[in-house]
Amino acid sequence: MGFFDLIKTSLASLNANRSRSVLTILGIVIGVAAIMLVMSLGAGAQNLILQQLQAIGSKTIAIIPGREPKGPTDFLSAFSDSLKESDLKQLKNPANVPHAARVIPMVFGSEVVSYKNDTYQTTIFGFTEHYAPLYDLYPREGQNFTADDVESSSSVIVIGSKVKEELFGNNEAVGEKLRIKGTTLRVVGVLPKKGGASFINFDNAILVPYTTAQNYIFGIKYFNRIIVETDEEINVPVTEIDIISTLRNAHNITDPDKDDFFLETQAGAMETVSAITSVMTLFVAAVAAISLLVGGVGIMNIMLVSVTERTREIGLRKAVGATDRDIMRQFLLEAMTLTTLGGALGIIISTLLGLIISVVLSKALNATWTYTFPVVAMIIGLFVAAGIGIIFGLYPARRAARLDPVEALRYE
Amino acid sequence: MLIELQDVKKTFDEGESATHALRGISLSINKGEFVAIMGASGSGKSTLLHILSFLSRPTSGRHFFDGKDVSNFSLMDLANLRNKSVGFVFQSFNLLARATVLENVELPMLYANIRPKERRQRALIVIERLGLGHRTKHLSNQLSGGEKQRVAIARALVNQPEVIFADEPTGNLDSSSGEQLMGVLEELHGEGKTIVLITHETYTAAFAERIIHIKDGLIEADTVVEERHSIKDHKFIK
Ligand SMILES: Nc1ncnc2c1ncn2[C@@H]1O[C@H](COP(=O)(O)OP(=O)(O)OP(=O)(O)O)[C@@H](O)[C@H]1O
Ligand SMILES: [Mg+2]
Repeated sequence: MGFFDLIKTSLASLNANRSRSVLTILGIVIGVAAIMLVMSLGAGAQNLILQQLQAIGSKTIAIIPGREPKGPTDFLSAFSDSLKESDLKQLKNPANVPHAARVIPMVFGSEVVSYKNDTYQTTIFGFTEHYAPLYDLYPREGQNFTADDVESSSSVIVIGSKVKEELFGNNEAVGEKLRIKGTTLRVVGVLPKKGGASFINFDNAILVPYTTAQNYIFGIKYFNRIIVETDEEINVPVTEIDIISTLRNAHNITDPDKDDFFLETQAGAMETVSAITSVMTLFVAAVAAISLLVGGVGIMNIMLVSVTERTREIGLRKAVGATDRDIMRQFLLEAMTLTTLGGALGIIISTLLGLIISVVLSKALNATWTYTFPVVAMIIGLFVAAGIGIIFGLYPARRAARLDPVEALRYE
Repeated sequence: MLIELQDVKKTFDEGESATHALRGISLSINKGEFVAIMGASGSGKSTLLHILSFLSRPTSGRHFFDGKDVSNFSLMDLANLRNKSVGFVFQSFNLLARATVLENVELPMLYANIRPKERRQRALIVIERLGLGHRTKHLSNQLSGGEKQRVAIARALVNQPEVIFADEPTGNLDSSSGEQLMGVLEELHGEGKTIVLITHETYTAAFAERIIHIKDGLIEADTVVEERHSIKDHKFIK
């Protein structure tokens, strides 16, 4: 039997049992839709995080004190005081790190800030004045603190837009005095609303000269980070090497396993994020794939019922000349058509849901959540659906093909 | 000689009890013959017809068709023979219920890989010939018994087979439709088709030239019909 006639025959018998066909493919529809949705949401989440990583800047290297966490239980190393003022000097020395355009120390911690009778929990960031060009973040009211302020541990602060709103409402903030841990600080600037486009939520932050933060707020002598900005992006790898050897020298480290610091770059972070989201996505997709298997078993069940119901038809087809192969193909194609239709329907549903979700998430996260139509996943989805039809249709189709024509014709 | 059986036996094994449906049948049928097979219920008539028409294979013995030994033909070759060389008419019609008359008649040509256009032409000619031209687009379950059986004959004829096998084709028909059907078979015989027909009724059997009587899986008698019936002296139709 020709392929075209085969398709016509299969469609005709599926059409004759329309409501059953629809119910049968439901499992496949849900399975394919779930997998596709997970894949596209995973890609969307990854995009969003990568987008935020862009904000770190591709030219910057973060030096983090402590040992690089090697596993989930390795968290203790996060508390370390290994980065000191002397390291800053070494790193700023062009003989050590020639491509460092800026070396910016950073201390941070969560504190309660009070203004008159109001208190508010924020994150305090101690920087040099260079945070502004680094993050492309300049006060929209007042001004930034200066190099002199950093030099002399001045009690001046720049506050995020949310902090301003919470403590001052619509009133003027610049010039007002806040208290943090018993220290009085004067507001010199208010940051613009930055949104969620960076890992640091500047809207809810207070920025101070790092010296002020060390001496008056946190009472520490070390840094939580040192940010090195290179002159060119291509110099990031060589600068990483320079930083490592400079710090090993300064800390008298000969065994790399004993490093008391580690580096983080945008490229490295992106790799990590991609790896994590890909694994997560695959994992969830694998769970969703189970529903495809369940759907496949449903297909097999219905096809077996169909073979039994149509025993006489099979007998007749054989009597007028259908070979075992003809019958086998007919039933396989029926199963495949069912599952492929299910797959196509699943793709349509997941696309619609994906679009709706991306609009909702964009609003909710106040960020651009891009819906990526997973073309590859779609093609794979269709093939997988067809494959499930073949796999789970095989047994019923073989049963049909092997029916003895005389027995089949006598079947009541 | 078109068909020849040599000592054909057919045994159905069902666990401990085996049924010896055919216990050594030898016969030959010439091209263009009109043969009736008669016998009591359970005597093995249908079993014999199934072997003659390639629907099943003998347990032992040899089966020749058109000079070829088909006893050891593969299932595929037998399917091909069923498709091209023989046509069937069953007592219970066996039409595809949800398909139209045209689609039913086209069915054997589907498995003969005939192009859609030719398929349609050939089907329409046969349908017209059997007086069903006005029913072409009807679903087969909307037809009367007599019409259904004529669709079955159209389907049997459409691949231009050598032999038509009919297993009690008038069994589910009223006498008028039955007689009309015998008229069709007689006409086909007149055109040179070989016809093998199973029947219970002496009256129907007398349309044939020769009657083979089966009893308990053996040929009891093989007689020439002296006084043949013809549609010309039918009783029920004017
Ligand atoms: N598939 C089978 N399995 C077991 N026994 C069978 C099978 N087919 C036929 N038989 C047996 O073989 C014998 C002959 O059956 P067959 O159908 O050929 O008889 P028949 O002459 O056509 O009878 P009827 O006039 O009632 O149609 C019977 O005893 C029947 O029960
Ligand atoms: Mg019988």
